[in-house]
Amino acid sequence: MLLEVRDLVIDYRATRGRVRAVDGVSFDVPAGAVVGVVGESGCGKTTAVRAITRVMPSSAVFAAGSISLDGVDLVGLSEREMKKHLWRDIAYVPQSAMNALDPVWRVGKQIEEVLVDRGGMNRKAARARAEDLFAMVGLEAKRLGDFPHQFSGGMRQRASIALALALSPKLIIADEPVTALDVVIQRQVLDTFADLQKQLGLSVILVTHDISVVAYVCDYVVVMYAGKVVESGPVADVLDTPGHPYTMGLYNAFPELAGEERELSPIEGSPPDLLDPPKGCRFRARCPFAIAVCTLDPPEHIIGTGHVAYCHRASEAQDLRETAKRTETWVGVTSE
Amino acid sequence: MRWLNTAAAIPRRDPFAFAGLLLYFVFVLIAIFADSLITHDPREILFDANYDLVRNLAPGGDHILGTTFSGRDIYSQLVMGTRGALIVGVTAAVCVVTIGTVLGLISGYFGGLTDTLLMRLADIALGVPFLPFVIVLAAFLNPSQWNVVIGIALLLWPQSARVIRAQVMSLRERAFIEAARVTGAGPWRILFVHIAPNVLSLSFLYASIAVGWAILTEASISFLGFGPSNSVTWGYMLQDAYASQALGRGQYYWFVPPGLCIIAVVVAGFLISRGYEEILFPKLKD
Repeated sequence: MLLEVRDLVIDYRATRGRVRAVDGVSFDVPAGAVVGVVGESGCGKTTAVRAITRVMPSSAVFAAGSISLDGVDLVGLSEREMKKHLWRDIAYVPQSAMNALDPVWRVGKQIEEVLVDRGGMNRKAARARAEDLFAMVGLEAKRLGDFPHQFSGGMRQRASIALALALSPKLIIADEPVTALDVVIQRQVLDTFADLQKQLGLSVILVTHDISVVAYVCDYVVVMYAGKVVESGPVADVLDTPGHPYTMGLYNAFPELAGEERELSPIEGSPPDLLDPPKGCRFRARCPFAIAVCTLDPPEHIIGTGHVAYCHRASEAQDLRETAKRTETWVGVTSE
Repeated sequence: MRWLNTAAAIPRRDPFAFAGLLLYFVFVLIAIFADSLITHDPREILFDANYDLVRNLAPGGDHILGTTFSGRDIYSQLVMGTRGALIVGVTAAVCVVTIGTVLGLISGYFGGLTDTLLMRLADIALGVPFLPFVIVLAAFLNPSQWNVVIGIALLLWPQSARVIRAQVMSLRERAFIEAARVTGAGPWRILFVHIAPNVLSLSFLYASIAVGWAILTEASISFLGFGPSNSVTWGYMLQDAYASQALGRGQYYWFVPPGLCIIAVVVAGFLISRGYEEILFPKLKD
């Protein structure tokens, strides 16, 4: 296993107290696989993957958990040792990667800077490598001399991906890499990304709120809700036979990037306040299938190989899925 | 040659800023070639063939702008004064902006206690009355134009530091800075490679404002008689004219030219900074 994250707990210091943004999250990234981390805004998915890089807002507190990359325990490393791993082993395509390029430097210069400063290359080799990287992501080499504002959104996204690939990292964390793009460009960039991933055997964590993106490029998926993992497993299994009502709802709420037409139904309500999270299943208040036992912590339920769901009613998942497909199931749930 | 077109478009787009640039250009040329432009040594007391002091001559003939009460050539003084004014103005502006930019960057990026300390220091510097401070400084140190530079550097940095700090605080949260942090770049590298170039335009804006301030202050100090006695500046000329009761004798050719020069340089600086501001913050136009 390339990356193992175990029982990760991250808090944010807030004026009203500590917000537990990530509460006991565990997941694995096998070498050469794309793992999607999916969930709605504020569910802690970005916080969880940012913790791997250790570059977090100053209010974030690493409360507990272990992260090991290729056998190296990242949590135990000193600041200096951690820096050695950054970008060489772990690269990051940040949220709103469109703005991830410094506006005052030419794009080529920024890629070369990383190659020289972090990769120890000389200027000439860095220049050649930058040209290769641009070719890989489908950009012309002459555009290396342009400033970021001369690029379109999709091109900037490609440049960010090129930057992430620069030092051939073991793991690439892509945080909402295509969210700011329109659907056509999304598809193009995702295709480029997926091709590169197969060609180079990249290991990728793809953070997104869009489950159709997960369906399109990921091998495994981790579904998060309110700071906890609610379901995880191979993409085909999780999307075909979801065991958690939240996954069912999420799937219903997004159109597919490729595939048949179907009716969409939103999950009503909003996630719980993490300053004072509800006991038991956190999805309870928005779940159409909630019963009395849901006030207790949900058990782990193994559905298939590597496929787990944390739900009291996971054993009835087959019936629930049928009901979940009907739009009216999701109407008026939160009123109780 | 795109930049040529851009440069050519400036006078049409903003004639005021262009006028300012032109004025500065003329003053810089005068300052550079002052040695060949003067007709007499500006400090030399001049006598005519009969060994009489050539005092209070009206403009014309050998003396383009006439002579002073003590028999010095006003035109030569004016030309030499340009050099003094620009040296003080430019060095002071460089000092102000260097201090302001570096402290603003550090304060904005690191925040916390560093920020608090630096910003309270800025408050104190802003609270000190300007002219008296420079006069006291001149009294403690030997009178020299560098006192003015030091005084201006010590008291004017908070304005640029505050604005740059605010800009840095916003830049610090931007995605590209975050991205730079994840690449493993250290804080100083991020600060000076990624943040500093993004606030440089603000530094230049404050530099152009500081030039005018410095020249004005230097003139005030010299006019009050706290300036250096060994160099000729516009402020010194005004002081000399005042002390010799030039106004009473109606010697407008003596004190009007240096006054106009001070106004011209300060206005030129203002016009440039205004035009520059319009490029930086186009929204302020309305």
